[in-house]
Amino acid sequence: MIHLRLIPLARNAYPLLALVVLIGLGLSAAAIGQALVTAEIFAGIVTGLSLADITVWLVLLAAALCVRPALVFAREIAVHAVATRFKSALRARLLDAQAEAGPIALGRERSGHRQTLVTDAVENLEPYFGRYVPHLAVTALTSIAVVVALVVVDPVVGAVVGAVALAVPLAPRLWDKVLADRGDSHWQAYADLNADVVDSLRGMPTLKAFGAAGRRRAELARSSGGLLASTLRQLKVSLLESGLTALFLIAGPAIALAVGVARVGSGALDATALFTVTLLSFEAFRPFKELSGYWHAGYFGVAAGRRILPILDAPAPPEPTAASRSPELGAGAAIAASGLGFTYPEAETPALTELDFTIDAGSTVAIVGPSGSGKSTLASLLLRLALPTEGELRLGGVPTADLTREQCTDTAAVVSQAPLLFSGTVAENLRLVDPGADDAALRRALAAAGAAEVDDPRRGGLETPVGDGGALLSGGQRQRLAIARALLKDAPVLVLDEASSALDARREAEILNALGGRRTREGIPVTTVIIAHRIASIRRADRILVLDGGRLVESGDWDGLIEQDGLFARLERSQRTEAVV
Amino acid sequence: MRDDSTAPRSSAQLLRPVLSLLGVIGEHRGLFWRSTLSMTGFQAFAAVAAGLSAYIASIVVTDPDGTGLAWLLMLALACAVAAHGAFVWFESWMSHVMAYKVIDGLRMRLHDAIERISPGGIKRRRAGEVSGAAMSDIESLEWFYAHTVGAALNAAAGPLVVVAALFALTGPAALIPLAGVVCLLVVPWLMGPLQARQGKAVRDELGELKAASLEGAEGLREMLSLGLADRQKRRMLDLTGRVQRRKRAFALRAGAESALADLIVAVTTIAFLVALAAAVRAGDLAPALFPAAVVLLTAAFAPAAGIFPMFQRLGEMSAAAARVLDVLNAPATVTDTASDAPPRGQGRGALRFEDVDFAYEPGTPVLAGLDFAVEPGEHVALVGASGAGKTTIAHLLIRFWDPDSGRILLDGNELRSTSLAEARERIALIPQHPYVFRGTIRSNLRIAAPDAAEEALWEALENAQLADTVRDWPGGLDETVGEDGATLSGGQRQRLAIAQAFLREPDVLVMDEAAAHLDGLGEQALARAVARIQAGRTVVVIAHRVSTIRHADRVILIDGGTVAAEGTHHELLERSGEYRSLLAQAERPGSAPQTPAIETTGRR
Repeated sequence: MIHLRLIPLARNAYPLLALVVLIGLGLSAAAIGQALVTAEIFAGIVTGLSLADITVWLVLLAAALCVRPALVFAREIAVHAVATRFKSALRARLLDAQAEAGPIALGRERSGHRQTLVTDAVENLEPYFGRYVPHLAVTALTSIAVVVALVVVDPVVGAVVGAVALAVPLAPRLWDKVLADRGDSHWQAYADLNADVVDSLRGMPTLKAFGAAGRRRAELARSSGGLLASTLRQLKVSLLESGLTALFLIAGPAIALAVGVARVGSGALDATALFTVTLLSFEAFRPFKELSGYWHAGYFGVAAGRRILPILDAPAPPEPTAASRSPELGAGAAIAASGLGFTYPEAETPALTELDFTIDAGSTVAIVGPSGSGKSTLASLLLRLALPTEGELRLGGVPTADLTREQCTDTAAVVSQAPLLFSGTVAENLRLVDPGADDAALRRALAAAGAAEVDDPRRGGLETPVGDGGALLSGGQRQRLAIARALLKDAPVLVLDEASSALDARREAEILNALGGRRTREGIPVTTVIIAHRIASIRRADRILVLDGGRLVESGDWDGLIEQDGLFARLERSQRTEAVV
Repeated sequence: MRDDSTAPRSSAQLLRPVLSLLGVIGEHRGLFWRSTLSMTGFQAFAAVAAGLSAYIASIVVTDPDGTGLAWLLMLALACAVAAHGAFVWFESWMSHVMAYKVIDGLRMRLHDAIERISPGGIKRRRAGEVSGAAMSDIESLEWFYAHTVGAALNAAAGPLVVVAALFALTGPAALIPLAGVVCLLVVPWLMGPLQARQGKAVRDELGELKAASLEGAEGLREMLSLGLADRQKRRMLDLTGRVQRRKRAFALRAGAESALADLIVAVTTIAFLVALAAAVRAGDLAPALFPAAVVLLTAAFAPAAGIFPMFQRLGEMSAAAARVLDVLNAPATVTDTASDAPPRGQGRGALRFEDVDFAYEPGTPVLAGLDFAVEPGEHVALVGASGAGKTTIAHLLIRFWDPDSGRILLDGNELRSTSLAEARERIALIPQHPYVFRGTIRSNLRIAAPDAAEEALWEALENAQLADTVRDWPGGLDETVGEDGATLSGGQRQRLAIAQAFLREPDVLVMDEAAAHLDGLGEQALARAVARIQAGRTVVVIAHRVSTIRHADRVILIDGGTVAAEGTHHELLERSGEYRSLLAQAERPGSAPQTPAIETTGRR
């Protein structure tokens, strides 16, 4: 059962979950008490007792009724506490898992999809853990308690109510089996229709230009009508389940009463116990009714859990078995690929195929190519977020398979197109990478990245706040600040993954040119890898690798590639002639 | 998604947009009442079953030997139980049918509205954005209308029905449950605005959390290489803490609301019980009716709980309904007119702009006194800086909008008095980023020409230099072109758009040239396709490439929404300094393109 695999996701909230269950049981106890007391009052009134004779019972009833508001309030607070507790822990686990497994193990899902796991999926688990799961326990325990109480009153009545209570959760399962998967197909058909409508809305200018909007609308209306007609009959049958459940819930007490009356008739049961039988059997079925109210919480929770579990289980690339030598980046080939190929898990075609190249230590190399040509995948392999599926990639002479993740990430500093900045000051963001750096070092890094302007004394200099996610800076400033931060890491390999795309070409070229020929504090020449969109800004690169469809189609320096008149030259021309806006 | 409403002052104010939109789904009134009344039905039968049970027990307790009447009533109880089940089933069926029809109706209205406003937008948001937001709003509203509004109505109606029954049974004592039910319904009504504010605060904080999460997912490589993972985790947990603090306020209020409701139930129950006991003592009420009346009281409160789910989401739904209404009420950009242009084939495609002014928003003119003419069969290139108004000219030609003043003439007839269908039949637009619909090559071609024969489709593909490619696909014409045409390269999309244009055989072709694409050998095929579609037609091309400009019969330089200069490429090079500087930018090696030259669809 899926619930058993999901519940451990909230393991750090177990005590609070137990508290929610306890409060729920308290509410059940109050309700059962109320039923028993009410039965006494009914028996008293019907047999002609006066108000004074039943005062004790009335006071007890008032007590039972007044316990409820307090418990209901406490339950809301406890449910909130459960959510607060498990959410933080689960988010932390998910973020760790994502960091551990890297973007590749998570498949090629877009990053936009991935983030919904950490946010939406966890949010959807809130009502699941806060309401649905505790109420499952409360329902089971309450029903059992009430059935036991009824058995004490009368074994036959108890047995009958117990049987009906068992049928409530089991009957729909049988019903599901009868219907098999008839339900799923029509939801798929609805989803398809919905996608067609969205498609139509997005392509509306095209439809209008072709005078086809009316036609398209008529088609959509027709297929919608057809879908409704074809699913109505099916829906009618599959929804019988809800009627059936409702029938059991209300039939239970009625059957209990009938059996009770029969038992009174045969003299096995005292007549006044009938009120107890009736009111108690209501309580046996009430939790089921409440549980059906939480059905959506359960449904969405399970759906969210199904997405989360594989992420927590996603394997990271295996660490090397034996400790190996460290990468040697002082001279020779800093990065070398031989027969390198990579296919994403569950992908049909490889993202990278038979790559052979070497990048000399201290050189500046640009990688260009259409999107989807495998540039960013290469950056991931360099960080050992995955191991090559064919051939090998060497970092400082050592295959990444023989290095630890830490050795790889220590070697390379990566700057991405949309850099990750945090609320706080310029200096705080920079020192995240090098906590011991003094102000002069920060200013040197900013200057090298062409970002000296963010250190504006009028706005606070290095103590200028950048806003959450760097919101107070422009796109170009964010990128340059991120480059400065990467420089502070003082890593022998610097990878700029379209890291200056928000700058104009002249500015970009200036910064990229200035980054060449640097050395780390230990004197190791820095190898710079530039993944670029704009050809113009990589004119001065020592070498350019041109990727297309995961293959290395051309390589050489600028002039040589232009002379070859291949893909690169075409790319360059198309970017050049385009400038007429 | 953020609500754009300001803080609501009352529940009535929150309900207003929700009720206005209810009018929109008025065509399903029959379904709505059937579903709502069947809910009343199953609630009533549940109450009847409970009351009968208590009454039967009373009869048997009063007279354990005479159970004849009890068994007769048991039969009635069985009927009530069966009727309850049947009504529950019928209600869930009806509400599903209604949910389907509501969402279908709203979707079709949205389709109409987006057709009216495309490719513009409303309130500075583009049509695409507007429709995306409206689609998700519609989905949440569907749930609200189909499953919540009926329950809310029953929350008021159900208890009143039971209270009426109690009046019949117990007389004026029933005023006590009436007062209880009214108090119970007033609580969420008064709390509505506070609830809406708290809900909005939670959603806003959630929005922040999602934004931070997306940044982290996108910058994962950087995060790992620079050791920022812990800092990002802390940020996410801080934001989670903020969301939870907002939710705590929400939970406190919701808890207080529920507790208050339960307190009302408690007080009412005790008061009613005492009053009934007194009535029995005074001989005004048969003792056997006492249990039934008390049980019915519980049944009266049960449906009232149905109002809470509605109020819990009222703020959110109110904002969603307001947004959807905004879209549905957006006026059309053009009014269609009967055509008095000569039927196709008689004209030859002469175009003339006469002193055309146009603004998307009052006060910011895009075109001002635009004047130019294009001879039949002439190829004209429009050139100008970004924002000069070139795309607007194309959109006016295809009648996405009409000029604010001045005239556009097609073969001497004013375009405004040509029907939309006619105008779009004679003038075809090939956009810069052609849209490819979900479906197949065939279905995409049929959008341009619904009745075209198989041979005509192939001929168009042939002319567009796409036939060989399509023939190589396993599915041929029926090859699926996936979501957003992701399986087609940029050049192939362009050629598909050209094939569509071939099927329409327009007199005038308006092309918004692709700024750049990288399609290897496809570039040459595209050039051939463009040459073919342009042959023998009047062509207005928004040019981005020097080669296109060179080959045009005439170049018109647009600046500030008017014609700055016109002539052949060489004439302009001699005459216009502005033109020279525009081209110089292009010719200078290593200059800055405005848009990334490499397609950015389908990132890995």
